[in-house]
Amino acid sequence: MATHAPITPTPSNRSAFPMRTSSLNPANPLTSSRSAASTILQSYTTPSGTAVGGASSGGLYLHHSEDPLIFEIGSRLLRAGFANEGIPRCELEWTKEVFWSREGCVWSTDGEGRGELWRGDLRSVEMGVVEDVVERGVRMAYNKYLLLDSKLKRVIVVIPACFPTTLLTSLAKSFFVHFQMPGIMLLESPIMSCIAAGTRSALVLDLGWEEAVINIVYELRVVGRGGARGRSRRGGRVLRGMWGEFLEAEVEKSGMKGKVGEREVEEVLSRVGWCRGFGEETVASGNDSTIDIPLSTTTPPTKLKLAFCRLSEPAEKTFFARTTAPSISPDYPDDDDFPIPQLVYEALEDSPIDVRAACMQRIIIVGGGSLVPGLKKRIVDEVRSLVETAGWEKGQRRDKKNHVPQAPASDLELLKIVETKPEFQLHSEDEGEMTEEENYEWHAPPGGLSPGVPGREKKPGIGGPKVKGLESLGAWVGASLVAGMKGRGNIEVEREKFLSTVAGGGSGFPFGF
Amino acid sequence: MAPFPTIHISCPCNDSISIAPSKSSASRKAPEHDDPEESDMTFDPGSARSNFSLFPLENLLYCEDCNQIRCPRCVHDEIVCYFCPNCLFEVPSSTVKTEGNRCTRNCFSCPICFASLSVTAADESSTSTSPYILLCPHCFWSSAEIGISFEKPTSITAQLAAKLKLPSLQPSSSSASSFSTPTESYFPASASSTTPTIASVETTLTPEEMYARLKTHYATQRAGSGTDEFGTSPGALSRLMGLYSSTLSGSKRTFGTSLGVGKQTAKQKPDWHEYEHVQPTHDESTLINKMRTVGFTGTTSSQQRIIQPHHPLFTSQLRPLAALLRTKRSKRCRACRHILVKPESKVTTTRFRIKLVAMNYIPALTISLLDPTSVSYHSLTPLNTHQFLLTVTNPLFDPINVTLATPQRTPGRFPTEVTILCPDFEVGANTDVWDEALASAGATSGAPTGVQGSQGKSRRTGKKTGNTGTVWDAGRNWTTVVIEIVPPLIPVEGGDSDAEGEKKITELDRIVQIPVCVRVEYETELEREDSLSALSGREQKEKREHTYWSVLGLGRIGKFGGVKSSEGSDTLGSMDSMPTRPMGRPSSYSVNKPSAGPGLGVDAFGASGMGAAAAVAAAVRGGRKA
Amino acid sequence: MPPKQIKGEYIETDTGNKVSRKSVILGSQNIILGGKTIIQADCTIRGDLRRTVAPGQQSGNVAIAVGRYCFLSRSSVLRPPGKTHRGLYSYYPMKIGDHVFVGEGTVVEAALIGSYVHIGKDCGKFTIIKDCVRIEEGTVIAPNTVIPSFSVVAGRPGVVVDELPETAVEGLELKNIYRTI
Repeated sequence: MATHAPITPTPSNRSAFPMRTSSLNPANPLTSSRSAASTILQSYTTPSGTAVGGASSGGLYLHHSEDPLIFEIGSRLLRAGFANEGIPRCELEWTKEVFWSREGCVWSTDGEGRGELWRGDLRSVEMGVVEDVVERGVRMAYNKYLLLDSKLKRVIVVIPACFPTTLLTSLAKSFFVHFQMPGIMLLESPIMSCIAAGTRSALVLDLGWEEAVINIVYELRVVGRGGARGRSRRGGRVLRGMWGEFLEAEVEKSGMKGKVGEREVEEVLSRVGWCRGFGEETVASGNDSTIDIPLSTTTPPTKLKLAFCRLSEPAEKTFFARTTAPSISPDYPDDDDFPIPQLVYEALEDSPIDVRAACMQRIIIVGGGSLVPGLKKRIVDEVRSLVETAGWEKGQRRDKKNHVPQAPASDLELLKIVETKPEFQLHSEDEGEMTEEENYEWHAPPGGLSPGVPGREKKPGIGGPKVKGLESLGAWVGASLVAGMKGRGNIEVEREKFLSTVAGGGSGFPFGF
Repeated sequence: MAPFPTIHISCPCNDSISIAPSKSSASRKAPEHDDPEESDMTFDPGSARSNFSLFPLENLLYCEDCNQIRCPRCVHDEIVCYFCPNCLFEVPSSTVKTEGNRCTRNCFSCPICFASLSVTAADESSTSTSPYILLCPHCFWSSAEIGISFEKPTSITAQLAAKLKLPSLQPSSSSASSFSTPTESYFPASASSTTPTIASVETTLTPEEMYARLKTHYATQRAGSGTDEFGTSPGALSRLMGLYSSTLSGSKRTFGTSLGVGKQTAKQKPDWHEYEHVQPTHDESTLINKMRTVGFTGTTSSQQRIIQPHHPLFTSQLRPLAALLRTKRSKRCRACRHILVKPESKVTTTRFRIKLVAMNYIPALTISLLDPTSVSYHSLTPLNTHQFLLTVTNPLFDPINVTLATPQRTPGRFPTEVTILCPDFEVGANTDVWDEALASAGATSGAPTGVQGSQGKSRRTGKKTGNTGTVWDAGRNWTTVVIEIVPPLIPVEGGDSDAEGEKKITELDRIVQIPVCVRVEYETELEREDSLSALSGREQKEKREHTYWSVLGLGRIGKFGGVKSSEGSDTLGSMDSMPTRPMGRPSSYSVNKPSAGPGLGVDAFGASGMGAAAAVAAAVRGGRKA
Repeated sequence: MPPKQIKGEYIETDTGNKVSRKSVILGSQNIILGGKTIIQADCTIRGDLRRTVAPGQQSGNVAIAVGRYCFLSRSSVLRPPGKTHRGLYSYYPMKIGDHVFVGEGTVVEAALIGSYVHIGKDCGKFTIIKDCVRIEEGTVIAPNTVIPSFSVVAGRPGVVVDELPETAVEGLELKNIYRTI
């Protein structure tokens, strides 16, 4: 912290941010005495402790009038912008060559392994490179889009839930070492997606690049991840693979040869890819329009003429087919490769009944995969249909068995910033559960939005709630809203502390995060 | 810019920032090297991280207080002024953020091709008050395509905002003030809380509207709760972030009871409600139908889409992009906070008040082929000896001693053998521009008198022989030495698959990159007052030293065609056994000597020469280690 | 860097300009060369395209002004920009600063080029290029574009892709090229 002290801001800075120097003053007793990180640590180690002071009066983040910056870092994109704004100021794709190439080198364009910032298999990821690339991305965001002096801003980083600690350490190192931020606050993206949808509970399905992940958020906490089947590899990469195969087959059909480059595949799928609605015919009607797709990476460059309805095939295969792996019996499911609606259904089924009641009306689909037109609605419709046909038998049985008497909890405990484990929190309901559910029910007028028949959802044990989807503005916007209200996240990390822990070989983060 | 040769310098900041965790990556790489101890020291230009620490000399700064090179990564940028790159007007920093870091005059760029748009009359011939449009002079996109024209050719931004009904950033960007009046709705007519609107009707809400409503909603929620002693309201936040304290009284929709918190909180704060107008999942069939009709060309490319804040799917939804402002930035050393670069604040000037660039402190390296006619940079013959001239130019006004050390074999799967024939030499001092002009009028080649002084050794004057231990050529403030490389033979792809052949041969394997450790020593006068030095009679000297890794990109290995097939297979065999053999033996490439460049006395540097050079290099390394 | 030319290929002027005998220079009375500027073979400089004025009115007679230490590579063309203004097609003077390198085959129709500018190829009409700019090869800059200082421009149309480091002035200076010719 001492490093910030000797700076004398230039006149222009001073006029722009009059509060800054005083608010970041290391001598400020509030910030220095109450370290956020230690509060977190405390609350982790002593879940029933009395860390109220730290939580209620706040640490680093509550006493600055200035809006913090928000970075959302994914394996494909960096979003950056100011809190209290509706859209990020910039979105940068990690695939851009400028993040990877050597300065002043023409030949260092290798193209390999440049698809994403990290892969799911972290063994193949060099953490140092992640750190370096993040540094470049953040610097570009600062210098080109945010137009800010880096070190003087507080930063909120939105990360996926269940984020690998090694990656997190790399990201934080990049921020702390290269930009010398005083502290970072971390927010989990599923929760932020909920906030950006205006709900407190939801099933958040993130169709990411690497994988599709389900997070069940209940009362703004991630309470479950859909059990064993909460994730699937059916994400952006599989979609690109499907499109690649699809295009190549078409290229070959038209008598040409050649691979279609990955970038071009992405381009095509983002431009003309779509997804059929639930129950829509797979066979094209005869008068369907055709679409010309110019391809430049094939040799020679060519133009594909395709029926428009066929352009939904890859999405169909990626998200709804029984299996995404090449199989001789494609109609039989793989043991661990389920269609997305099935995953959602099972995640709901696995949840405690009140959580399920809340979440099934609030399915939020975010992530790059959700940009395929029609996909979100299709998934929601399919889940609804699954629920209508299958009901919740399994879940009910389990709930009765696992009835756990409720542990008394004090108010103090609830004021803490604790992310409790799902089991701890989700002990089951008393008999008033049904009325709770009614209370919580969707308040849109009956017969409203969904094409599903309203009369059919009467399943034994399930009262009113129907499966519905919600639109979310995305995790970044959620974080912007939270930051705008001076909200605090689960984890705040201070620079000095972090660096010293990392230097000592630790991750820099509280255990269990 | 010709791609070869390239000269990069590794900023030493890379070592200092990678703290403990980098150990794992180092250990992972270790097997590639013969000697693990050496791998610690040798900079590997092929490693994944090297791209991020290597910079051309021009991009480096120099901190006089730390006596260190500073790269763009280890400095802090501080903004001196903001300006529009198109109209070159300076923008006061107070308005920059609220205007979205964009120019508010008439500067727009084309949403299709990103060229800057110009304001033109929609109809050239008519002179009177015809509407104006934004027209791209490159691709001829015009704002008329999205149905927008302007009444007057000035203040386009305001007109455009009015036409697009873009919610300006105003309400969202002012932080505290907007919250103080949370009831003041962003959309006064439609979003007042008394008339709850049905979500299904409003599926057309744009993200901006949705955001504004959500924000108002949360603000109202927050306003309902009290504040604590610090003037903020952590209670509301706590609820938000999972710390809600629910009360059963006065709240219709609390559902914290199941958690057993249904007691009373201290202040009886109302609970936080969910937003009334949540948006159900959009029915995107209209989108799909539109895609069907507009076809591929009617959709936006990913590049066009991502740059627009609202990510439009169709070209018809594109908006002209207001020019992003640019900045002039001063730079500070991250370690000692001294200013390294400070530009003049006037937008149009290119002068600097402070400019401590590494060019003026550390010697510049340049590479050229000794015999440009024999080979080209793009097709170095494998297993042949190539000679390059490495020129070290001294920017300092003191003579410097340069020691170059290089690994005998470059790191990587296909090592190139390297020898610097004269790794230890002196470079004369730089002189003023005026002196230079005088000198250039006189003697043309090397060896100006005074500057070398007593330290000038016999080898300072180059004889252009390839003898080991002698420089090739030298001038007033530059010295040229010969660097020899033997590029490896890279197996043809898809050929024999040995253990190493598992990994595909990448383009990077074909590039000859030589890491060279440059060590510069010199004595300089201590900076002090003139009177002081006059008093002491003798100027105080201070010894200084820089050591850094530099990477020379010498070229790309071409096809193996220069040597006869029998010899080729022979050397290929010897290549395989190389790792076990001590390096620097002349026998390893004596086969290739006859094919070396004709311009050089090949015989002059023999086995002994090689050995000596290698020994010096090793000695340097040893010295560093110790 | 171009190879050393045969002596006698260039005509050296009093101010040190070296103009190739094989270059095409039209309307030389309307051209100002600042000195130490090199014009290589097959260059075309259209000094004849000057401002058309109403008869009787005297206009400035400079069509092209070039500063010191400029280097016009082979087959490059300097051509004042022209446009129709009030129904009259007219050319506008072109001003080029010092240390401007114009690459081979480039057609320059800029209105203003600052100092220390490196142009790889093709520059559009009425472009204004400020000091310290590097334009990569093959770039086509759209007409009326303004390029601020310390920019690297590339693409078709040319957009600013990067910023030049602080050493741009040193990197772009052309004194050394002048010496080699």
